[in-house]
Amino acid sequence: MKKSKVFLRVFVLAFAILMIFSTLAMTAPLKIAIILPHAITSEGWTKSGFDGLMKAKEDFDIETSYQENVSEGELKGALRGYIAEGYDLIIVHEMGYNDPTLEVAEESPDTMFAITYGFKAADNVAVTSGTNWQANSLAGAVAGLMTKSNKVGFIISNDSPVAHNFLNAGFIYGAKRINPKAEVITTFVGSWSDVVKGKELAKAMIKQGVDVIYSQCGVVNRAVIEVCEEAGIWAIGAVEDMSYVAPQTVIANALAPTEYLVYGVIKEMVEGTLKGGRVVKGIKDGAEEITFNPLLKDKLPENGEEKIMKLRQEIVDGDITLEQMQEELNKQNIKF
Amino acid sequence: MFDIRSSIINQKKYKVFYAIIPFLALFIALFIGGVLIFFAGINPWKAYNYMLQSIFGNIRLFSEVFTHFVPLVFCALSFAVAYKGGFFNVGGEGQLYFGALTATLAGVYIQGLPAFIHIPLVLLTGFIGGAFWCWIAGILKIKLGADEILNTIMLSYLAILLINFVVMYFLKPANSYISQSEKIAKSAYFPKLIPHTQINLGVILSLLTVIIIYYFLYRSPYGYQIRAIGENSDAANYAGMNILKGTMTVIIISGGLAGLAGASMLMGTQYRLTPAFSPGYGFEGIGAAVMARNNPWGIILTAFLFALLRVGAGAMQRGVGVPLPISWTIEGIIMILITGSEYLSNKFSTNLIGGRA
Repeated sequence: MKKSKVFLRVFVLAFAILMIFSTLAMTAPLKIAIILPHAITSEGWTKSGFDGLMKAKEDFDIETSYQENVSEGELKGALRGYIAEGYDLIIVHEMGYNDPTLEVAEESPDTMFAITYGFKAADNVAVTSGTNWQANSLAGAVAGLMTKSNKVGFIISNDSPVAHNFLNAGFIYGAKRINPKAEVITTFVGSWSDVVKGKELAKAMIKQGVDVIYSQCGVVNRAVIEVCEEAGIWAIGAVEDMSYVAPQTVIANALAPTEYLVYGVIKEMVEGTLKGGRVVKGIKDGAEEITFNPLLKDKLPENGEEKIMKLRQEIVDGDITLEQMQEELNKQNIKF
Repeated sequence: MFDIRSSIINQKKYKVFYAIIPFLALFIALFIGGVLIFFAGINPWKAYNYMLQSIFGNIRLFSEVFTHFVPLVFCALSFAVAYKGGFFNVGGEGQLYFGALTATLAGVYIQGLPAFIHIPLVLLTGFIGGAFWCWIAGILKIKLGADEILNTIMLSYLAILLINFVVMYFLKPANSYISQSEKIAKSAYFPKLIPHTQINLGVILSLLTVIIIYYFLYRSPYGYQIRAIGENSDAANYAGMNILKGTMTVIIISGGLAGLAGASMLMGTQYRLTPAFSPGYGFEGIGAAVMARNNPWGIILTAFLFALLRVGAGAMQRGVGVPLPISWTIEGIIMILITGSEYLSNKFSTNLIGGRA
């Protein structure tokens, strides 16, 4: 009789402990993961996205994980891995992975997904994107402003429709807007990390007479800025503030930190407001910006900063849209 | 009398030793990897434990192994067949890409066929594509004596860039901003053997191909000729074998197998061609083949091991944050140990039985 009572007590106690643990598990922090196309040491795009996750980890009570260097072939496996491990939000930090992510998202409607800079969304897939052109067109404007040889260079990572229709169109429009005589030379590296090739392309540009280079190409950016420093020409930093690399060379920075987008998605998830659908954020929302290097402000031509800021204001007010820019360039028979 | 017997015994010992080597290499590599993981500030026991748990604890995750296994088997077979025939095909990656391109053309632009016709058709076009890309290097070797190692590897980069260009300017749907081809027709998808997993027809096809290649190489007279050419082409020529025809057959089969890897990836998992289609299966396949000493049966094991390592690397990174380069290092150490052990065991056998093995 006594023995069974002891058993009962032990049983009740065990049950209570189990209950406590299960409620603890229910209020466990949100599990948020990011899938990155390149190494997290890759400055610009990938590192910025990773920083967004780390910043969110400091600010919110979340459990985080990341997988870097995920190729197209490994993407679905990585996604399914995170789903099986019970992650609540999986951020895919590469626009090219849009369709495979949608396919996997269809398999598990209870998990939330986010794609940075994507194009297609679904009920459980939130797409958060920058404009791809606002900061770039302001970089073009700065390049047009600073050039004396009327030749400016733009180095892009991969040859893609986005590169042509958004990045290059924006840059050319900005340059022509400020300096109609400016000629833009655009080249593609074909990789986010081929530093040697990026350097060679920058050197070739300089030989052609280019005196301002804007590089939008991951790790290559730093190398290009170094080449510009050696050659004594201007450079424009991309994605993050790159002035520290060469304080006497980087005249301005076209900021489009993916950190902001990643952090924003996580914040919405934590607050419980994240929904499927595509949201585009530009200068107006603080997702993109142009900043001048304070050390070199006296090197800007007269009224230079005002001209740029006027264009910036037009973009913020919505007086200039991407379609208008493309139309304008088409009218002038300029290929982008 | 006594001498012969002892040499036979030694040979038997030697065979056991031969079979143990890969496993020994694996364990040493995992041990060194564990040390590296430890220095990265992570408990290696926890990392490996997590890796095994996440691979074998869930059928859906376990099935991911096969998405890597199938192309790896094809690529490894591609290298092994060429090696046996005396052709050093290190351009499996390029042939994979080109096979995927031709397979995509057949998968996207031929619509409305029933699956039992469409699947073999797409596979065949993949085979032809890969074979064609290898044939270029082959014909350069046969006609001009150009080094095939150089040519196959250069053609690899050429193929990757070419696919990048073709996808971007021709295969991309006009209204899409993303550089990728359209999806292949549903009739060309590999049917899934177990629903909701990645185990599809490709697994059976790859295993069937292993059997076919084994019988072709070791049980058919033509395979014997090919191996003879690979061992010593002068002797084979003296024996009246047609060297050119034999080499050409090897080239076509080797390239075609790599092309099948591309087609199987397309039909089994990815369904569309993208610029960065393969994560390096062509190169990893060489590793799998070398580790299996170019034996088709061994390739099943080594390809499976490499696939496990790939999935495991991802799992270790997701779960406990082991940096990916460490996982690659483990793979590299296995390769170094295997190639090193080959040298050592050759030396060992030379000392032991006078170089007769």
